[in-house]
Amino acid sequence: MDGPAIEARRLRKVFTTSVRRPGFVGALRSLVAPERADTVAVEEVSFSVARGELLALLGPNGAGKSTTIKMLAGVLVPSDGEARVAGQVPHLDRKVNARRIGAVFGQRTQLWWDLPAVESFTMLRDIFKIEQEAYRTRLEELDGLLELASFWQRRPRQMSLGQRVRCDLAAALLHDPPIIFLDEPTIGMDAVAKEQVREFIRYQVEQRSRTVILTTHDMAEVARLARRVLLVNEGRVVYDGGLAELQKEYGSGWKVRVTFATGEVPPGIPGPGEKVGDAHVFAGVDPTAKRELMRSLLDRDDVTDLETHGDDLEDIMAAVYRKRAAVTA
Amino acid sequence: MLTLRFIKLSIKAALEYRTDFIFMIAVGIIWQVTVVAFATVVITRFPGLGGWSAGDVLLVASVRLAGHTFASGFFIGLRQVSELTADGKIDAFLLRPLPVYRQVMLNYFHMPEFGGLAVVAVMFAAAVRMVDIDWTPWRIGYLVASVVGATLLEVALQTVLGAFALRRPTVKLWQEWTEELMAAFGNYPLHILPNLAWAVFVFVLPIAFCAYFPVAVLTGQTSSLPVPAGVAVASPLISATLFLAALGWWRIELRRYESVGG
Ligand SMILES: Nc1ncnc2c1ncn2[C@@H]1O[C@H](COP(=O)(O)OP(=O)(O)OP(=O)(O)O)[C@@H](O)[C@H]1O
Ligand SMILES: [Mg+2]
Repeated sequence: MDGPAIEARRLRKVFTTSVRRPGFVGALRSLVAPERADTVAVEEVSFSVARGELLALLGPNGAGKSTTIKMLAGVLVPSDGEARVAGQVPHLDRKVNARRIGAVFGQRTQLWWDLPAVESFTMLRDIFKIEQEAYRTRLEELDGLLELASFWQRRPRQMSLGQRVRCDLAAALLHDPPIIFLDEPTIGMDAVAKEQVREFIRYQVEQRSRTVILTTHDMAEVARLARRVLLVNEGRVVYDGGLAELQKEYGSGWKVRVTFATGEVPPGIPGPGEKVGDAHVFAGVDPTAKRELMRSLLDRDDVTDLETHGDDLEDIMAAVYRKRAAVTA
Repeated sequence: MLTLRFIKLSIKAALEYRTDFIFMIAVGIIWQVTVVAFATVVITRFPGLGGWSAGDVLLVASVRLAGHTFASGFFIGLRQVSELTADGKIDAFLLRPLPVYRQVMLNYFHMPEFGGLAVVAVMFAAAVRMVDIDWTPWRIGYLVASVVGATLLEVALQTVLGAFALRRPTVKLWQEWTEELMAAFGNYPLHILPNLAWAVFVFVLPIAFCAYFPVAVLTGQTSSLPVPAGVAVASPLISATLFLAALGWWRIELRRYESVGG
């Protein structure tokens, strides 16, 4: 089969929620004539992901990332538009789709709450009809990557968050799906666990040629894993392209962090700077202004510390969200 | 087989909390015994309940309780649809190549209900001894069909409500309320009730088809029924049809499933 692994064409999802009126009389009226309100979670989202590609799906809270993933995974039926995963519409043949995809929603576990994780794995083995031999080798491989064996006899309710998500990752990959959706897989993890999961994701893409859609609010993660990013805001795609290009387009800014011996900006320094702790931070986009500032700082004896760097990804994203919000407003 | 394997695992999981396990079974039995004790008091105090003998009434209660035991033992997951939705478990079910309905069933296996089977057996034994029925193979077959029908009817009602619960968390209350209604009225010959009430139990919440009609057929008392005898005979079939319809409704609601934010 050729063609992209994942394709979204003008995807749209509207949630209908009933609004409760306040008070007792309001509750009664709601019972008789419920008032409906529509939330447009995804307005119009189109993109495609090639086989073996990792796409970082980014956006502020409530942008529609999880909703988009759920439509691709066959959990939600789109209100309009079309999703195609491996060339087929997920919700039309949910069971076929289920064999092709693996999904982890970091905030919720898919394991059986009362069963030791290994028992959940054997249940999944039976549900997906995985051959015992293949099952054993895969479990071994997953254990090697995620170091599960020390806690997989526990039930999810007795696991730490990081342990639980690692088991969820393993559970999602037991049936060897070519396409995986990871919705905030590293949420709430410590640095070591995060690193392990990132390595795991990288391995799945580079060594196993799996197609991955990843959402995260951790920009360090994006910088480490993604070459291509899809930015959504308020249910629309606001950027689809290379991460490097995005940085170039939005983040040509600079930052200089200075500590003055007096604690105040002495006269003769261009710009007031922003006081952050003991230091002052000067920022801008014009490179000549930066050179000028640097020249005036380097000659001084009352500068005790000086640091300079470009915008980090976090700032860039914030800038993009703000700028795009202003455009659509 | 997946179902068997799951039941085995659930029992194993339950056994690990041994005191809980024994306690749960005990609670199940005590609860059922209370129901039976209450029914016995009612039956013995009023030997002719709506013209039916005590044995007839006990047989109604037995069929209903047997149906209820199987329904809640195997299908109790239906009453957890609200929680399953809130926990994102329904999302997880949709990611697996198995019908969601089956996974809801498999999600939780209610051990204490099966403690109730002992009580059911005792009740059946007593009822069979008390009633005056010639147990031909046909009648025995019909009794079995009645129990299956009673199970399917309760499951059908809980399935319809469970399908609503996919999008409306408060429906759980309706499910509990329905179960209580069935427990309260399913055990008696319903013609003792005022007309309006039994009409509700035939056409709205069809509890009458659960045990009352089938037992009327078995005991040859269909002439006192408010429906044609043929309808009463067809009770198990009607229950099965309602169950299939409920499954269809479940499928429709599942397509409209909205998950939860997060
Ligand atoms: N089941 C639902 N019912 C009603 N509204 C919903 C539902 N799920 C999501 N929404 C709404 O749809 C919008 C998009 O939600 P979504 O979960 O897709 O955002 P997100 O981009 O994943 O955000 P986050 O970064 O916070 O996870 C939000 O406004 C949310 O309130
Ligand atoms: Mg989300």
